[in-house]
Amino acid sequence: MPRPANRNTSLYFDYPHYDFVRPPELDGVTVRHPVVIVGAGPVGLTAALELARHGVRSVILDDKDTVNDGSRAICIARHSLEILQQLGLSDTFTATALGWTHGTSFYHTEPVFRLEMPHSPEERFYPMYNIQQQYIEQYLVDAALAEPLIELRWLSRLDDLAERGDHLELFITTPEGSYETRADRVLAADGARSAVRKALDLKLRGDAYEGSYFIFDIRMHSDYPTERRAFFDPPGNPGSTVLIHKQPHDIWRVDYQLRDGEDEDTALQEDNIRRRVTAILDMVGEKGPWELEWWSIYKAYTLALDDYRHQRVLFLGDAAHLVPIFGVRGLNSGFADAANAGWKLACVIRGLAPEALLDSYTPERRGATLDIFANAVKSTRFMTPPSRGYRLMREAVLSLSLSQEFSRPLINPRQSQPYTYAESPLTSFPDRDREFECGPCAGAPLFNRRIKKDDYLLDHLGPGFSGLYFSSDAVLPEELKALFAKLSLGDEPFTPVIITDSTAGSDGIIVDKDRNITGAYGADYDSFYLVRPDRHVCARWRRIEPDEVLRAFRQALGETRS
Amino acid sequence: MSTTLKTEELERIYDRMAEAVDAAGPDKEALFLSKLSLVLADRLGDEALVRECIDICVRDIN
Repeated sequence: MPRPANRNTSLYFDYPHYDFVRPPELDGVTVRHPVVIVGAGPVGLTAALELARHGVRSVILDDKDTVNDGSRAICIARHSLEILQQLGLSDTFTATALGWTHGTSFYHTEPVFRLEMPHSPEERFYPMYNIQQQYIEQYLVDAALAEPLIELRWLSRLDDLAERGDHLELFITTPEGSYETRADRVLAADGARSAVRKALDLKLRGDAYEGSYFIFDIRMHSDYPTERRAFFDPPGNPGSTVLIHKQPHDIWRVDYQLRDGEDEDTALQEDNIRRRVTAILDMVGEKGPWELEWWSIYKAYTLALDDYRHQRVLFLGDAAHLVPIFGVRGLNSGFADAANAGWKLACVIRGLAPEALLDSYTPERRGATLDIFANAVKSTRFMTPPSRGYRLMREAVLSLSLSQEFSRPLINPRQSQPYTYAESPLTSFPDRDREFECGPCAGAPLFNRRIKKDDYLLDHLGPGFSGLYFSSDAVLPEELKALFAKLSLGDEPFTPVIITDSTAGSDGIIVDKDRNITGAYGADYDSFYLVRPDRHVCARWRRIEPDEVLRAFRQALGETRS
Repeated sequence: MSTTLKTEELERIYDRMAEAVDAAGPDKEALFLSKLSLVLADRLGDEALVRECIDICVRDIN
């Protein structure tokens, strides 16, 4: 039986309860769904919303009847907000979330490293936002419930899944009995203990790291600003590490490493937790009352599937990969998986791209995971030194960094960065790319530029493919009008974003008098960036070449290699 | 690359190191030596040379 109404309790969050709705399959009706998404977590919901944005219907299965009973991500990166903006949800998130730009690392009680994340008035979003996963899921569920193309099936547990040639058969258990249903495609977004992965007998491979982290949320009022604080060997937890983050509604997240030889069960006893919390709060000078909201324990892993695609199944988020939390890459890479899988699957289902488009999912998203691993392994070794040698060298770096600048970069937590799909089979014309001196390279996501108050470059992208065209006079030549007409995706027209430094801009043209965008994008008159639905650059030209643009567009749909 | 220090210079460093290890004490001598290795590496500014020095020191320890 699926878990009945999960009685999560919280000091501040009212867990919603979603009713089980009897599906037609339980009454013997045979249904074949274009897409079934397993898991109504943030990744599955985002994938469903992205599919719906492109007109594709999906059913989401989840074995619980509320939001968030698993992991508790709190940091959403700018890149994820840009994904949420395309789903029309960024305002909902930023209304609650706390934006932040910097952090401080301390050795004992002295600051040794200042984390400054890239930020400027050109950006619509902060580099990072803190918000509880409960709110993240709540907002996404609310959007999914309002979307006619998404059907949410709560209290519906996937027991098994079988491949049947041109479709998949799913075996589902509900409070009113079991049923079978069919799907052309399955998106597995069912987390670290993925039932889909188990049904297909696929294994995550990789490493587990030393050191257990204890993690808790408390409610406490404090005027300390939103930033990341990391303490190495602090008086509040000698010989270990503490991380502190502020969350909305007076909730504070604290992570601390259990000391060597410290027993997990003993550490998790409530009076021991309270003693440790008190010591940590004393250390940071917090004197006010506090209440314990939630606690858990975790270890760091770098685990991934060999292939994120298995025939008609795509794996997303924790179902495909587990990454260490240091650097906040778990949920953020899950959002990117969902956006990537969403537009591609929509193109294939709508008959606008061949099956081969889905072959690019693993190189792009597993490539991102491997890049995360390379960075995360370094930050994890620093946060949880695996041996006496690593511990000693960390102490040497921290001690030196009290007075020396050169060793401080080694303390950098290497925060989440979007991955560049430079090697992707969908990315083309590398020689044209090399003609640019700056701007996002082929495979990279576009970056933002401010146009005027509450108006930024990325606001102008369309749902399908878009293109940045840098024009001398804001008049589109007939040849380009004809080209752009060929770049539509079914009923999703191509969106030209025309940028000019001419003062005679007309409606829908971005006037870039001071050449702010033009300069940052290394552009000239007639320069062109071809942009995928997920904001990544397919290819770019210093001077637009219509025949090449068309080839790049087809290649970005998995059709041909140029 | 061999030392460019004169013998009397090396002798003075020998003495200063001995005093600094003693001053650090048994609990902190490893920390002191590790810090010194990082500072020397930074001042040398030559990764290959530093790795060569590490290999020299790893030799004949046991």
